[in-house]
Amino acid sequence: MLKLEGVDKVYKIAGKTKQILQRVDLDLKEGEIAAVTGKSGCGKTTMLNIIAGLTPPSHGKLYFMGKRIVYFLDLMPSWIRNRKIGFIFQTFKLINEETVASNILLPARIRGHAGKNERMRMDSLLERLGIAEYKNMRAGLLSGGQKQRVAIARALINNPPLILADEPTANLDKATSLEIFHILETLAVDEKKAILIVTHKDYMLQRAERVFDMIDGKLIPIPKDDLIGYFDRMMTPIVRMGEKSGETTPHPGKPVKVAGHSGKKAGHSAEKGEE
Amino acid sequence: MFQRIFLTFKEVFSQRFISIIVFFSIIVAVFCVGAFQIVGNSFNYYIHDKFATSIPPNFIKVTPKPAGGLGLIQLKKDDGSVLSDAFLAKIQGLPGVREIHPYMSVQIPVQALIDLSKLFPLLNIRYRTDLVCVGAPYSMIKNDIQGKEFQKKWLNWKPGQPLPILVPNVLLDAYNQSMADANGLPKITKDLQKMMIGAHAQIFFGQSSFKTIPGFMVETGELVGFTDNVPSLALIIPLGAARFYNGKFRGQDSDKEYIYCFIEVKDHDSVITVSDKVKKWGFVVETEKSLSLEIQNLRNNVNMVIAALQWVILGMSIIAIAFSTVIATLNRTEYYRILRVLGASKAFITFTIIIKYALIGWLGATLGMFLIGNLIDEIAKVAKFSGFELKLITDKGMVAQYILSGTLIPVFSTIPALLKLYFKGLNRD
Repeated sequence: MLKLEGVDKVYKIAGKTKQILQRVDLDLKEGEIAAVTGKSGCGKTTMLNIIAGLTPPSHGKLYFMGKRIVYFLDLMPSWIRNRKIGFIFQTFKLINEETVASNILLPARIRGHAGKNERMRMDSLLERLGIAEYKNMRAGLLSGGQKQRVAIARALINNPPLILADEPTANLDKATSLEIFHILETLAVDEKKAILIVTHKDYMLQRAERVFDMIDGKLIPIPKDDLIGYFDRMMTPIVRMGEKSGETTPHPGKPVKVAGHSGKKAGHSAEKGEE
Repeated sequence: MFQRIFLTFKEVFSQRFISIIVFFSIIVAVFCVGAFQIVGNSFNYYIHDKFATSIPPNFIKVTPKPAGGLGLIQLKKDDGSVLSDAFLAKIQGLPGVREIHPYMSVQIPVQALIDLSKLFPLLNIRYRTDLVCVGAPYSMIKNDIQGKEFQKKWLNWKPGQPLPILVPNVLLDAYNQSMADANGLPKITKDLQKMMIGAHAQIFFGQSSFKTIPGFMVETGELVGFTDNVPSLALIIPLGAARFYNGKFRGQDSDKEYIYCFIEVKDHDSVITVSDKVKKWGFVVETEKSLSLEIQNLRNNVNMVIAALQWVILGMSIIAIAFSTVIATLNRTEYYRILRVLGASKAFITFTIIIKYALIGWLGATLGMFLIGNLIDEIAKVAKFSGFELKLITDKGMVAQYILSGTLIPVFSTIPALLKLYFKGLNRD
């Protein structure tokens, strides 16, 4: 569904060039959840922006459903972003002055179709996400978890096959984060949607089908069976000192300890700031 | 499509406070600049009316030079002694010429029988006089014709219909100052002039005290106004009527020869180039330069001050509007980013912003023009300038120019914000 081939991104900052992404290759299939983690500023959000067509790559090719994305005049990326990609953000990016319904219908309005079918789909999404009662409430009045549900509903209104989630639970408490991730998992399973998620949460990394670590702009695949060992080896001695406060996976039955990977001291910590 | 129009309208009604500031700035700018324009135009009109020949700016009066000859035998040559249709076509072909307004005299005896008993019931006067008639183009005298009904009659005159006539004020002055007193007739005052509009007189084409042409025609003339624009001691009739009577009684191309014409040119430079060319063809040329140098200087200085004031108002408005639009647009950067992330192209976002300010500008400019149309008369009444009249000259070109400027100013003012948004603001999620 989504294929990145040798994608580079170079920025010029104060006259100096800075390489943000280096030969990034990625192949994401239908119904698959892939998670990307990495330090702040390593290029995760830039990669999502390139996939969404918000910024063009400096080099490399990007294919979406077999077609190469051309960035000329911003038209093709916008078209794809509107119809084929749902974007979920850490900061929700809702229009607080408008109602929940108006926020959810916005991508449909941009597409030019916000009729009966889209309204029915919105109602069904609201029901499914458990926020039907807030339909006519102003988005600014909702809690963080409710806002993220609205953002998910908005991302799904045009029924896109790909969901990009940029630290979708970073601003939420653990219980709400779990619920949100569960919704995303269900989408991948039930609706065969491909989900690319940028996260620092251990349980998400555990449950994703593939996990990548982004180090200085390079996307490095991590073997699922060696997830703990990988992050263990990546830790600095200082970080090792904080191991005692390790975290367990929230799902019952299979406790997983990802030493040093979470917590604010860790190199791959759950930092709230954007890249 | 409807949904995109909905989003565009949503943009129009966003940030209402700043939109209202822009809206009122446009109204004030258009009204003030327009009002100064009217003061300037009225001043120029006043100067020309009081101090100059009847030639308006950017107009050239062309008269054939007197034909050479001996006594009654005149030799007609193509050396500027005949202003014919052929020459008019030649002049029209010169660069810088916008339009030609020719005047034709009726070259047959004409007499008028005016029944004054309706105006002065006690006197029971029927006044018969020999006259000269001149056919004038509608474009030059349309503002002197009183009412749209009479304007229609002038434009659509056909033989057999009542003949619309204009009386030049110089003719009226001549009557009042010499004819009236000498013959014991009543003088025609300003009030009487108004009462005379629509009055009828019998006009005999082909008959005078000296000569009667077989088949002469008796027409009913209808007074449609008084004019300062044709300084002739003649009755002014539609150009088409003059052509008709000349053609009927004189023949031999007399319906294609003119006594003089006004050439309307595009600008002052064209006045010089076209005048030189027409002079070379042997015609007598007059331009507005017949104003004295002192009066020209006075007029130019006043026009310069008015133009400077217009630019100051315009400049201040542009600055106020530019700041408002830039602040308003950049304040909404987050909203535009959300739209973009959700799939709106940069072009669509830019389009909605441009439409918003174009619509506000257009509404403001239209309202500004509406206020000019309705308030200038009231201001003139309150101000009471002595000997100077504020004239609202309805010029479609000026209205269009003001509305277009009012529409484009807020759009162009937004360009810095749009550029920042397009190349920086929208490129981040």
